[in-house]
Amino acid sequence: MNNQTVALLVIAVYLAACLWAGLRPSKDQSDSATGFIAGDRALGPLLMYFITGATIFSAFTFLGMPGWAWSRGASSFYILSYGVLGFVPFLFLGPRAARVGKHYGFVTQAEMIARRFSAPYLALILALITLIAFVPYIVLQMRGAGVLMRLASGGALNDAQGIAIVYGVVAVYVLKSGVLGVGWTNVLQGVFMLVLAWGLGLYLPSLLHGGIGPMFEKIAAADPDFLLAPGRTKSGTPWNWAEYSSFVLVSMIGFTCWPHLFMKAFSARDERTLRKSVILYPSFLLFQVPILLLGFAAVGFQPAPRDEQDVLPHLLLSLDLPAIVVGLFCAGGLAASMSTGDALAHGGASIAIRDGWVTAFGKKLSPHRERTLVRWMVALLLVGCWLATIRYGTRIVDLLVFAYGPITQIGPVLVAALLWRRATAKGACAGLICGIVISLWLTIAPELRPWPLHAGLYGLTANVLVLVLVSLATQSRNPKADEEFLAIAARSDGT
Amino acid sequence: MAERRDASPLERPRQRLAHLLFAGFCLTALAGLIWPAYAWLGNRVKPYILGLPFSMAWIVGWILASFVALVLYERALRRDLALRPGLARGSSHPK
Repeated sequence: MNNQTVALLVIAVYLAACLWAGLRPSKDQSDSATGFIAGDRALGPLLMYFITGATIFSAFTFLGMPGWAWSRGASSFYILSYGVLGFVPFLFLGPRAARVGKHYGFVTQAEMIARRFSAPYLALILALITLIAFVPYIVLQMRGAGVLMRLASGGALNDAQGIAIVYGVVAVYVLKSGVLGVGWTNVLQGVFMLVLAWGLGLYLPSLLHGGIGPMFEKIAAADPDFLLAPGRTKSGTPWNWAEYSSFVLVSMIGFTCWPHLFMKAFSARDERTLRKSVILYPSFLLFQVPILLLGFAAVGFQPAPRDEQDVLPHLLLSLDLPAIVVGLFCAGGLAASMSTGDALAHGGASIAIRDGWVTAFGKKLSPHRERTLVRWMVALLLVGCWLATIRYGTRIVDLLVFAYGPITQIGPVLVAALLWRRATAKGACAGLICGIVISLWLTIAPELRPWPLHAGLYGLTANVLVLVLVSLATQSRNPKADEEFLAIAARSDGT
Repeated sequence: MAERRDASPLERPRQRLAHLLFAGFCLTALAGLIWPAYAWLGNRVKPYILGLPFSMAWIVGWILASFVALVLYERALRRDLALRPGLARGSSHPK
């Protein structure tokens, strides 16, 4: 058997396992939108742990992060840093969201916000923001899958074919099993990612440098500043502390806001399960350490990779590793891509139908009919993103930065919706729009920033100011309903 | 349901202490991860810890610390919950 056959066989076995894990639970949920989108609010700690963990780590982690470490040194530590506190807001917001979710029957974040402010138009705005961010994010996952399939097949499969195979499998299990398909495959994919990352992350440094210590000593001897924060910019000039720190801060705030992640608050069995997934999350975070080691292992490697995104594939091909290792690495990378891509497609489609159609326009659909529409939307989203990837796939990291901006601006609205009685619909809407406009504008024209801080931080500041001022200047549409909503949000279930 | 929100006067200060300590931890961790504390205290290559440069091991240290802080915070709040009459059901920390 030649190398490509072995690598592709490993991937075939992995994909078959995903199908098995994803199709098995299809009968375990009700024939309704709540079943398909939120698993009838019955998910236990194991599923919640892997859904949150594996969803957060995407193809960017496997392909983009080693590239950062290789080209920008210590600046890549920022990615490790923001997760430390990134999930903490969920400890307070998640249980509150779960309480109102159970009471009012919410399955999405936007639906909750729209109800709190008695303003269905907010659901439409949030659904649009979500879809605009999700498309590049899914494209990113698909591009990663395409790169890995090309690597495994030795170029025999082009991007379009590779992605079609991988995301064909995703489509089958998401369409059939909904959130339980996403959840159970995430358990498999999460374990796979963790094992592969630690295995390779410890193996490659010792193969190339004789261990992790000698590797870093070598790097420090050649270039002492490389391992000191804030590291370098993309062009190799020193990065500054202001920007590094604000990147950590903005990413921390944006973390909880991702709608596909936040809506999992509506899937958990009880509040204790939710809190557990936050408490155990740092164990998942640690797996970024071996990923960074992989990037540092490539420093000084000759011949050097052409592009920072090619670092790991380049290393694996040049080292003449056993085909089974290449196959396993590719399958691990696919696990990272699929575990995020499936949640995005599932979440995006649910949000498009539930928020963009049902909540925003007050349409009444039977639970069964709504589930059918969400399924169609999943298929449409995957095919659309597949076409977009083939035609316009740009560089991975650029896309992620673009996707993150508007999503982060949902943060203040979420906090206000669940915690601040005086917040009004007009305030939330004005703050959100201000924040998005300013952050996107300063992303496009960074020279307009008065200080070298992340554009999102200017957006967030404006967002909070406008939200507070406009809220204080306007009246709630339905103060009694607001009181009731917040009272339910504050009432613990005792678990 | 409403009585579940009311902590007895004895428990309230303890709960408040847990909240305060956790908030303090979060602020310290934030300072430790960005400028200024990271820049002043954590940002050096030596000593190497388990082979990692100190600047990286410092952040790994904060990841581990955040896990410990979250566990302690949850335990402190749950112990209060278990102390309240009628709420001991299902609690893993009976007193």
